[in-house]
Amino acid sequence: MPKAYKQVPFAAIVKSPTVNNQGMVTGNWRYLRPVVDKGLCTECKMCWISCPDATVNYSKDDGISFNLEFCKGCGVCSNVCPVGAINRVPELDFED
Amino acid sequence: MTLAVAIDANMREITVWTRGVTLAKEARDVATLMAKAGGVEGLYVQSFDNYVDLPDRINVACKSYARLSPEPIETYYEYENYHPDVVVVTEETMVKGHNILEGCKPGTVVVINTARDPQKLLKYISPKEKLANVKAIATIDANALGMNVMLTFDGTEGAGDDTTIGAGVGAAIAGAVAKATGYAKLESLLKVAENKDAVKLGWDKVTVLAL
Repeated sequence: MPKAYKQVPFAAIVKSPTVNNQGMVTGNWRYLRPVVDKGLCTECKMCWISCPDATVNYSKDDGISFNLEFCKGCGVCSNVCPVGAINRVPELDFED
Repeated sequence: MTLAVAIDANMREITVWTRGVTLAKEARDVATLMAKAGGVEGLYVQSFDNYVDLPDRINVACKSYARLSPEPIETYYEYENYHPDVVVVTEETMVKGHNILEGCKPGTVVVINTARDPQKLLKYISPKEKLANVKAIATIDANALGMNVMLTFDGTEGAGDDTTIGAGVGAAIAGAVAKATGYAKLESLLKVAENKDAVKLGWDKVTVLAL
């Protein structure tokens, strides 16, 4: 029975990824870490939709956060942010 | 013990860690200059680039290698230095998240291109159990040596290499490596490097912290 495309679930043929690929961790490519200023952030989610590696997370409670295990530090999020809420800070300024 | 150690007992191995594309040329220069300087001093040498990682991706971790030996080198078929005597880090952030000391021999010298305090970088370096093998950490702020010492990008992504060997930051780091390890004399490095001022600056400005 044919279905209209709107009835087909997301990633209908291939399962939608639910876990991180531990065989290809890319967080250690990064030398500038994105840090979001929650006071400036308007939660417009431009960074969330622009991140090429889908490492920007959003939740209603915590707002924008980053998956630093896979963020390569490319800086697209910082560039697209309309209010300049995302700073890029040298990785070695952080303890973790 | 791998084949390299079994056959070439007196061979010294230099591993240069770097970032793909942005700093690949500089790392290749460090390895090539150290090998060429060793050649000037009558050693048997090899230097080669990366066959293992995928260095055509920007900022990916990749490595360049050099080998120096007083006897003919019989290690042909190993494309990595599994037991380095010298670990060079051309970009400071690489101390974090990479096992730069993997397989290092007792008496290893670590050379880092950084303006930071080496004591503060120690906590990032891994694997931790290999820190006991480290004899000294040398630091050189090669990115701040002035207009004469620039980054060179040639020879990456299949482009032709017009800048010759040791035109930029890599020459300064090679000078620092040579002084910190004693593997090459300043005169032999000056003979083979394009940017002789950079080599001298690297040689003069390196600071060595004995552990």
